[in-house]
Amino acid sequence: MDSVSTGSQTLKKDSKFVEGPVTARADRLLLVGAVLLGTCVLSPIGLAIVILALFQLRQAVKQGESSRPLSVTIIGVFALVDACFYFLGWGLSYGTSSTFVMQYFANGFGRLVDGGYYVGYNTTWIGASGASGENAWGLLCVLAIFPARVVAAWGFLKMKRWGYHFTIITTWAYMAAWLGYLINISTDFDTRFATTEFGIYGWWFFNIWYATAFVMIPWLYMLNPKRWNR
Amino acid sequence: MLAWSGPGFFGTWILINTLQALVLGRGIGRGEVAPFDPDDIHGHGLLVDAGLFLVTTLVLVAIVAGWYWVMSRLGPLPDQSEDDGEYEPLYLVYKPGLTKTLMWSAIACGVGIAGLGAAMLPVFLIKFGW
Repeated sequence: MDSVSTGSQTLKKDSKFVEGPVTARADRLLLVGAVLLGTCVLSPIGLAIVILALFQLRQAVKQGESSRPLSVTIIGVFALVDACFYFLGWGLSYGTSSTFVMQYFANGFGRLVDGGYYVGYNTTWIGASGASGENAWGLLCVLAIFPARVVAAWGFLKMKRWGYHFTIITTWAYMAAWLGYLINISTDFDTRFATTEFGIYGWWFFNIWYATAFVMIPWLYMLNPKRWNR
Repeated sequence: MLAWSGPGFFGTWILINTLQALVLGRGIGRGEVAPFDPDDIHGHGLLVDAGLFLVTTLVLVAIVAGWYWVMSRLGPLPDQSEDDGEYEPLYLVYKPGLTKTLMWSAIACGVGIAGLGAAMLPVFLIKFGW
């Protein structure tokens, strides 16, 4: 039998998920690209590497090497890139906030998008943003939510059961973080929004793309966890 | 209902921020932006700056490694079956229209994140100089 019919979905029995060398290489490349994208400063290089990895994944599918569903790849890459941005962008900003590159970057970002990154920048004992609330959320995300999400997204892409499990948990955590973060930034309205080139709509234009959790949560609950069985 | 959580959540907050701006009389459009001259900022010199980046990167790698160690051990184990789940249907609840919408939303957001992230430094260089 070449296929199994399960209601509205038909599965090809000859499409066994075997991770071949091209897929494994493409996934590793994807991880490197996502990490570089997350550094912000090296983002253009990271973007090129992610695109290259996606071409390699396409090539792997053409060679019949992998049958990981395309939708899993799309959502997995989306979650990985998003989590790397927050984890590395924020993470690097704490340890390196006194370096020339980070000060330059923060001052540019602050003036265009979020005033908290230049008004009083580097004046708290932890460095980075001058807004203490921003640092509380930043450190929570760097120490807990986003490193966990980077790992969960990787496990999800690799079809690991724990990857699926922790992707759901970190997606809820991400949604909760959005709520807390927005309450925080809105209470700092004058510093964060009223001191930039583009005001509130500039901030939203830059940040609305990070709606990852809200895009993912309905889809995750449509999935069959048994498919993540590695 | 979960599918509407995103539009509902973000729509509400954009409205709240807009109302804040209208009440305060600032925040929409250009605000009071302090001038920026890159010559005014100083690091610690190339070597120390590079060292700080290296040490911070190592700390971040350690954090991720710690989470990997915890999650790969505490997460649920796979079912004890011969296959790795490849014959199971992908969806328990399959809604083609919703799935397509979510996939295209994910692609659009992914492109937005990567594109804007990659554009930041070039934009700063053009606008503020070096």
